Order: sequence, then structure tokens, then C-alpha cells
Amino acid sequence: MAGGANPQMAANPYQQASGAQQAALATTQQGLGFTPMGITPESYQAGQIAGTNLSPYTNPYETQVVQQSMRDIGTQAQLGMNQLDAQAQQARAFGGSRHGVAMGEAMKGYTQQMADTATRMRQQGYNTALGLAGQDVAAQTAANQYAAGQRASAQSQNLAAQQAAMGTRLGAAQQMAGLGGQSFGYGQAIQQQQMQQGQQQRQMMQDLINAGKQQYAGYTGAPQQGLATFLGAMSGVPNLQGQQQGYNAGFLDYLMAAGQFA
Amino acid sequence: MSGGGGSSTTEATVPKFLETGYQQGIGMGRDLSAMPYTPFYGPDVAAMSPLEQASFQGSDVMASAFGMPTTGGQQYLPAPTQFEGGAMGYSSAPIFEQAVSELEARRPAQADYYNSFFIDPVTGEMGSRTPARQPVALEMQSGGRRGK
Repeated sequence: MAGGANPQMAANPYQQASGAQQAALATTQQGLGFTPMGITPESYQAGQIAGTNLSPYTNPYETQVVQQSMRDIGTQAQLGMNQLDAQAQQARAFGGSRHGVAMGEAMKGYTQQMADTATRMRQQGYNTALGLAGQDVAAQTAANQYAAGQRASAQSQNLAAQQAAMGTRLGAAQQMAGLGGQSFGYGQAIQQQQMQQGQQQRQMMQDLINAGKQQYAGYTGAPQQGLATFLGAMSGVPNLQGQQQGYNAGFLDYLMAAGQFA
Repeated sequence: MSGGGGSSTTEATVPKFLETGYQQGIGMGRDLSAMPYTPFYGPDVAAMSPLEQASFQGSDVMASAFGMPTTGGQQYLPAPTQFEGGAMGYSSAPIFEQAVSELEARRPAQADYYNSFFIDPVTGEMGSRTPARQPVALEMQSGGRRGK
């Protein structure tokens, strides 16, 4: 007698409750087996100057600069020697031993100056290259350190996000389980009401049937009822047997009576 | 006055008015015993009220909204009858009459035997086994039923 369910309703409360319960169980089970991602320690390679190629940091024109300086000193030395020759001529000592000694001393001074200048310039170039390379090494070390820090931070953030997502899913599963229980309750309440009303209607039908049966019992009992009525009417009649006595006199009675009068 | 060869007799003697009453009672009992069962054609069970009907429809609407089976509007109980005075209800008379008809159809001999004890409820004709159709001689002093 039951009619069909509403086709527009995707699932009845019991299907909803079952689906929600299964989803909640699956998610909860997933939560029980949840293992957070591990944090890997991050390291970085500190830079060092040792082994560093300094060529890129040196002045590519250093040799030309040094050579130019040498040529300048040589020119200056030539002028000084010429001046010394002129002085020796004025003193009419040109070509003499004193002139020779003076020329030797002067040349020694110029040679020494050239050596010192070249050394100083080369040393300065090396120090400059070393300083620039050191700056680059420091910058590279700082960059490595920053990258390692960023990677460690990313790992921590990923872990936190993973835990938060798991917590959200567990919360949703709990809510779904609650809603499933609510759906089950709806279904039961409706079913209970249907049962109650159905029983009420069936009881009415039963009452009607009982009334018919009662009438039929009266019908089938009518002969006995009629007999009882008839017998009941007679039961009120008293037994009158022997209520009045009479005597019919015989021949001897008459003789005896005649004798009494004689 | 005994022992003289006479004979004693015993007779039932009641006052005439009492005798008449007895005979009328017995006669009435005999007539009533031929009276068949009198069915009740009035309402036996009250019908559902409009509010109850509305509640049933509400249950269907509620169940349908949740995708659960409904009655589909089908009625379990028959349409109630409106009796005099506006009473709405159901009579058991149709059930009773169907049962009697079934008895007559399935066990006609028993039904005929049953009916022979009563008058025909439609024509009033006496059944063949009613006391009226089987007269016996009354043994009371007056020799017959009085009062009719």
C-alpha cells in the first residue's frame, strides 16, 4: 500500500545517515593514521677565499699601468742622467771617474725606484682583488644562509598547513557524523509517526470487524436465545400437581353411612 | 372418609386470572422464540476527524520531502457514512450481511435449517420449525390459550 518516495529527493534520511557515517568513519580513520611530514634540517655551504680564482677581481690593465710607470721612471732617469752629463761638462769632469760614480749612483737610485714602484703596484692590485673576492664570498655565504632559512621556514609552514588541514577534515567528519545522526533521527521520527497513525487506522478497522463479528455471534446465537426465551416463559409456571385433593365415595362408604343412620 | 372403597383424585387448580397469565406468557415466549436476530444498522465505529485526516496528509508530505515511502494518498479505511444527525462513522451491518450471505452460499442446508426456526424477516412467514407451525395440545384446564 506504500507509495513511492519523492524522486526529487536524492537520498532518504537513512541513506544520508549511512553516507555521512561512512564518510566520517573514513576520514576519522585517515586522521588516526595521519603522520605529519618530517622536518629536514637545512644546511648551507659557507664560501671561502681559499681556492678562489682572483683573476676576475684584478685590474686587467695592471701590467700596462706598471709598464707605463716604469717608462715614466725611465724617462725621469734619462732626464736626470742628461742633467748629470751637463753638469759634468760644465765642471769639465765629463767622462771622469767622478762622473762615472755619479752616473752609477743615479742609475742605482732610479733602478731601485722602479723596483719599489712595481712591487707596490702589484701588491696593491692583489689586495684589491682579494678584498673584492672576499666581498663576493661573504655575499654568496649570506645568500646560501638565507636560502637555507627559507627552506626550513617553508617546511615548518607546510607542516603547520598539513596539520591544520587534517584538523579541519576531522572537524568536518565530526560534523558530518552529527548530521548523519540527525538524519537518522528524522527518518525514525517520520517512521514512528507513520506507524502510530497506521496502527490507529488499523485499530479502527479492527473495531469495525469486531462489531461485525459481534453481530454475527448474535445471529448464530439467536436459536439458543429463542429457546431460552421460550423456556424462560415456562419456568414461571408453578407445579400445581397435588394442590387440591378430592375423594369419590365407594359402595362400602355408602353402606357405612346408611348404617350410621339406621 | 377413607377406606370405604372410594378413590382419591388430585387436581391442579389455580385461579383463572393466573392461569390466563401463565398461558399468555408461554404464548409470548413461543412467539418471541421465532424472532430472528435483529441487526444494528447504525454506526459502530466513529470516522476519523478532519484534523486526523489532515495529520495523515501531513505525514505523507513530510515523508515525501525526505524521500521516504508514503501512502500515495491511498485510503486504508472506506469512506465513512453520514448518519442522521450528522454522525460520521462506519456500520458493521455490511460485514454482518456479507457473513450471512457467505453462510447461505457455503452452507445452504445449515442456513435453511437455521431459518426454519424463525419468521422470514422480509415476508413474515413462519419458519417450518417455529412453535406456531408445530401445534401441540395444551394440557391446562382451559384447554387452550387465552387472551388472544
